Amino acid sequence: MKKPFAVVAIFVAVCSVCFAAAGQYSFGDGRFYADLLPSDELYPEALFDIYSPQSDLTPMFLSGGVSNPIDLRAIVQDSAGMNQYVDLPYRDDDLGSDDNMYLRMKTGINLSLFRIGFGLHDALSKPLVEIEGSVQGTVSTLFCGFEKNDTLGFDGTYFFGANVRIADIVSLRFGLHHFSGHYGDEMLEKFYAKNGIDFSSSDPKLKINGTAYKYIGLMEYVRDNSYLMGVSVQTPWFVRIYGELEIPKNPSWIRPFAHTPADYENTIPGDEGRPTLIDRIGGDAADGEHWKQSQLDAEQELKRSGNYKALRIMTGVEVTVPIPSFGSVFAGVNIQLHQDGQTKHQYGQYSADNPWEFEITAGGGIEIGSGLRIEAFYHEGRVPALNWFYSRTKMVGVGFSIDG
Amino acid sequence: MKKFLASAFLILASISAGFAFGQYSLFDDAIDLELVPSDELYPEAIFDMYSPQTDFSLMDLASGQANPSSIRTSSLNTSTGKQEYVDLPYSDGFADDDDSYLRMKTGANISLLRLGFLDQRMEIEASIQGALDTIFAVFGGSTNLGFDGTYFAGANMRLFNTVSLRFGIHHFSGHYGDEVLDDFYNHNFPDGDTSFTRNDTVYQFNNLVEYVRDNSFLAGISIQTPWLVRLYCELELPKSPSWIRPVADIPADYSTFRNDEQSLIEAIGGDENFTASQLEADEASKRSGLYRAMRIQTGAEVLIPVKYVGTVFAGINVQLHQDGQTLHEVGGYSPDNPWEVEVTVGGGLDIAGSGVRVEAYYHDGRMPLLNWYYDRVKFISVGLSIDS
Repeated sequence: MKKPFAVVAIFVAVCSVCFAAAGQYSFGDGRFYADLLPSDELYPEALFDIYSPQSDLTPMFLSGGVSNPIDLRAIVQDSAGMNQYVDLPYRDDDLGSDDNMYLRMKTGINLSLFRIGFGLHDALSKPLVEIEGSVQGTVSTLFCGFEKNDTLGFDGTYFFGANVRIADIVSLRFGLHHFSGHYGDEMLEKFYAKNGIDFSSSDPKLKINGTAYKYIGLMEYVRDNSYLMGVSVQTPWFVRIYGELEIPKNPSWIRPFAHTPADYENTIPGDEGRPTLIDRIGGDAADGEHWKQSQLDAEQELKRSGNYKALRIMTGVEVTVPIPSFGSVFAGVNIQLHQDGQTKHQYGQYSADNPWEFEITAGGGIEIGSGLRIEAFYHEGRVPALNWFYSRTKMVGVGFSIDG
Repeated sequence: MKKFLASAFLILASISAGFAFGQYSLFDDAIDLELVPSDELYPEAIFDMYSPQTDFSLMDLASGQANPSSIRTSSLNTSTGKQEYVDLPYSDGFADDDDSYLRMKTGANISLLRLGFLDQRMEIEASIQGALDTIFAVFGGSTNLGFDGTYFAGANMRLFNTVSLRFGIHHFSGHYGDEVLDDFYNHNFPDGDTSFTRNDTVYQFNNLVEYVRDNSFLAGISIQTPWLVRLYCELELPKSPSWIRPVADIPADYSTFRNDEQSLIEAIGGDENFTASQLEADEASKRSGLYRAMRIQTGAEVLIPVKYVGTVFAGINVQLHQDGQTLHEVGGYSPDNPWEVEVTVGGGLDIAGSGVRVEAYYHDGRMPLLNWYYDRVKFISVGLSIDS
């Protein structure tokens, strides 16, 4: 690792020198400019995208009648070596009606590295086309606002790519996007204890309704990495409309096995006997889900029957009305469509006729000059912690957010 | 909870209405009022490992340094009937090249409202901060070692643009990574039996040891000297009542939020399965000194502005942990034991107008993940950080 470390050190040193030398330049009456680390980004983030690279501190309350998320989806194996996904609680379902608050804390960064602009937009007296290199990253967590404040999980996301803005109206984005879900440690400890989980390679002891199973692990959500492309249009009437499409790369890591498309390549070179990603993620590698080969083959065949690619589509609309000397008032709706909903998050359930899974988040608030937002929103969709994707919820959030 | 939600919304709406008044000078310009200013009055220490800054850095263990390889458990010594902290490995070992870790920390540091007096000679602001931090191995399956959460809420003051003061409530909470936990259980208890043998003694595993400070008083002072040098010092003192983990770190006679009859040592020690006699002895030993699980941080920074480039900086940060006097063991406290010391020293370039720093530093201290506080490391780090 000394060599990569030295390479990174040299790269950082060279970047430093370049940064120091370049500065900010403008040529040809504004027809061309170069800007290092500009303070804003060309592609605006969706205000109500639960997964966006913004910083949030938001108490979220379950809507009336909605159950607390307490079931984890586990991978278990029966005595015949056949796997299945089963939902097992991490705690007793003895929560009161007041135990309905969760606190979401997300910290994020959204950085434009280098920007160039060229051409001249006469009406704006600024370049017609602007292009920038962009990096983003977030770490988020969702923990209980009751009892000992157990955390349900931690998520990591990042993006790197390029943004383009044309005539200050249309923004485009293209790059690689990463999602990685992690369960919370306190909740995991409770899960292991409550279900008598053992990690034996033989002599299974986990019992479900009196039947013994071998515990393989928990379902996890990973997209490492996907192509992400987006378009955003700022209309003249304070309204912004946007749409984004996310397609997992081939090869890439995709978890769980139930979400993996057919005939994606195994990313590990020389991994004999596991030619596809389904074989790798679902199979008997140390980090696999240990499904039987016949199950893997059946799942692969099933997914060949449609155009399944584990796509994610996001679209939405926002109204942002500026208020002089203050900031702005905004409202918006964000809709996310997950093609992996067609799998029902279960083995052997994929059908091209199944609907995509749908999430909607709608809300409004005010933004104070420097980017602090006070907002309230309603979310109907997945529990906003990636590894809990199989758990639907309805929540109301009231809190703060700032652009990363 | 509906009432709480309605209250929260009303509070936020009221704050919003307050914000709508914008930026003002009041009482014939005697007081300046600014809402959500873009900077903070109290500068964050550049090389404080736990600061609310955004970091993306590659950490390379110094030559000869062992990887953090064990997780501290609270386990029962079946021979003595007493509880002990026992470190258990989470893996079979590491290859020689397995010495790099990736750190990703994202943070937010917000000044909510600022008042200026005497033509800005005295300024005071309300401040909130938060950070989430994680470290991954850059080898094998990129195992995540853990996640940390910190926050601060309080007030900052600046006098004559030179001396800054801070006071508030500070929170630390460590969490193990789910992957490292799975590895730990797989490695140590593959047959589901949570007993193990160490030095011919049979132990019964009970639970993992965690690091929590929920919450502490934090007070700080920072002085910007005329010679481009900043000096700072901070003191952190856990509140009583509060939550402190592990029990080995808890001062004597601290109380809990839940039961005044029980001391914090008894409450947390009970969670960690220590016997009453062990906890009584630990509490008694801590009465013998001025143990308060304090943390002191001090340091110096040199910041040299360079026209068109930014600021070249160098600094040193020293942290002193009084909990080092416990040797991180129940019953290990003695006022004669030394405080634990961490040193971080480095330098870099703050790129003009961007807030982005390119930096390198050397760290000799705790593994910079709270739950790994018992694991000392030396490493070199190269990366980017951003004042959030």
